[in-house]
Amino acid sequence: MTRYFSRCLMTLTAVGALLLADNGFGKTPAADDQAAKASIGAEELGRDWIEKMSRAMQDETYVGTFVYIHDADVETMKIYHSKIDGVEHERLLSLNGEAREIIRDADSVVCIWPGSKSVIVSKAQPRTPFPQFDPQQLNVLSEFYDFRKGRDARVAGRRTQVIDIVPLDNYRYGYRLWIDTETFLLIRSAMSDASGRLVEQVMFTDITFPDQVPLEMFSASIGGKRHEWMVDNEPVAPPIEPIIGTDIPGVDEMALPGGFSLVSNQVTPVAGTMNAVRRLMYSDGLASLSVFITNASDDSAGELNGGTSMGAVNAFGVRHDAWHATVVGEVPHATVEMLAKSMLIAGR
Amino acid sequence: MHNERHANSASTDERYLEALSTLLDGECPQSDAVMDETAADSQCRARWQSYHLIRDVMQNERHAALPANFASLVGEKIAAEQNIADQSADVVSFAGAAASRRQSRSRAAGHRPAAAPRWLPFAGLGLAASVAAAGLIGWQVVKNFDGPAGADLTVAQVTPPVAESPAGDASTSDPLQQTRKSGLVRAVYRGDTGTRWVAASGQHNTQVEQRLNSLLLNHLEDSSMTRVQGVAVHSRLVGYDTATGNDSF
Repeated sequence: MTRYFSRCLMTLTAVGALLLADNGFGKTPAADDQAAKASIGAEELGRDWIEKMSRAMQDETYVGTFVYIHDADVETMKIYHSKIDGVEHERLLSLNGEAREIIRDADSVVCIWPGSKSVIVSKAQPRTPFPQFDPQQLNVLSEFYDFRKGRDARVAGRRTQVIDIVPLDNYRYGYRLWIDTETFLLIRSAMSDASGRLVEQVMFTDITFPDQVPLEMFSASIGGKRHEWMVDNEPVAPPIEPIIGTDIPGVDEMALPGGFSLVSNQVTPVAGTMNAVRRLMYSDGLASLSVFITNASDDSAGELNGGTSMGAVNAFGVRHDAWHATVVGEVPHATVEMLAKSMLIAGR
Repeated sequence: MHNERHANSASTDERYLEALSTLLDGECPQSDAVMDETAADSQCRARWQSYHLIRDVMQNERHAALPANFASLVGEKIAAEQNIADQSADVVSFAGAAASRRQSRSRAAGHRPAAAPRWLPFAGLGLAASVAAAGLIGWQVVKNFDGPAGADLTVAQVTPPVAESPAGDASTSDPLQQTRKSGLVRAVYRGDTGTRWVAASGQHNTQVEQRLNSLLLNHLEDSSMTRVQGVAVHSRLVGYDTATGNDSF
């Protein structure tokens, strides 16, 4: 693993100079909005609001219904969330169409698509409290985002504080957050691209805070149905390396927007393919993107070549000689395309 | 890469499987030989992957990560379809024999036998046996459970049942060959992925979308620290449905 880290010479391209011309979150705010907003320090926001929100999303027990708006579509979803004996449990259930659901705890993520009768069992990643900011990181984050405290607003019958996070370049989305002033839960959120277009919104319409949610509520509702079960994401006996599929290289060089840095680097199997995949995850502290590298000759039928999107998620796939790379993330299309095309696979 | 293993002898296969199941049962330390063999052969990789899934399933059951009645569901599935049950018996027979040999060896070496799994349908066979059987079920579901076979689900690349093998094929009497033919064969969906990837080309490719769904799931988990996105994280995976009337009208 060290070998790959040492070979990952990232070209941190200076792309931060591309300023947004028209951001939906107050880059060109109306006068009354501007008066209501007060630019506040990233340090204050990071610690007093976002960090509390992150912790609350993990620690609080809540049951709610929310709408998820993406592109021109609206979905209604139900969420159950609780911490039982120190273990976070979460169940997300689509209330429209097929009862797609995700059940998650500290060990695994089970995704169920009744329509295609498929189930993916994935190993859960540890939930690290976000953000693990130190003052230096806060300073870095503030180089790429402008944090603003907005007005109070009422959402789902609850009083919330509006926080705007405005990107200072075109390579990441902006966020508007409505944070519950009592519980610090994120009651509503919206993501905007560089043109100010809302690419995704989530808003609770109803939320309750029971003392506890029975463990039974975190069971799937697929009883008696037959599904295809696929394993995913099982780390293969660390620290042995190379792992299954062997010798999936890392990235030697890649144009990466400022502020993004490598967060994780591992090789695991991925459901839907017989092959190992190298997974590199980058984050600037708010936005994140993943680079998946696999042997192009193993299973080319499922390779993505070019760009595709789903709401706020963009993906771009490209083949580099014997390797295929897919970049996926909640970042604009231009970002994933830039990474994919500029990438130099190690050892080429 | 597939041919590498085909060239090996049955005894080598059996040795590998036994070593793998012993390793996963926690009865021996990690073996470089097993890891090397796994890395070098696609069938071994598939088996390793399947075994890990089932090991996870077994372990997660204790944490209720899967349906609380998962064990009974699997038991019902076995009972529901004789074909699968027959094939399971083959695998269990093989894996049970391997477990038996392993336990004999362990006793001879003074080791304490591994505890029996907490999985009722296969209690007493050892974890490897349960793993093999569940792996078969998990990876070779090929027909629609609720309606006519294949009514709304088309599956490709499924090895014919052992009974359909050509007469005179010596491999049909070999549980290992049967396992290779009938078990742990990954089905590939050709149906709808249920998601709405919008390609620049405007074309939908189910295999690409299925792969993207897997990658997206991994990405969402890896990026879980960016919880600024709140409940939207996994909504992205299940919040897309092709049948909710959201299409243009």
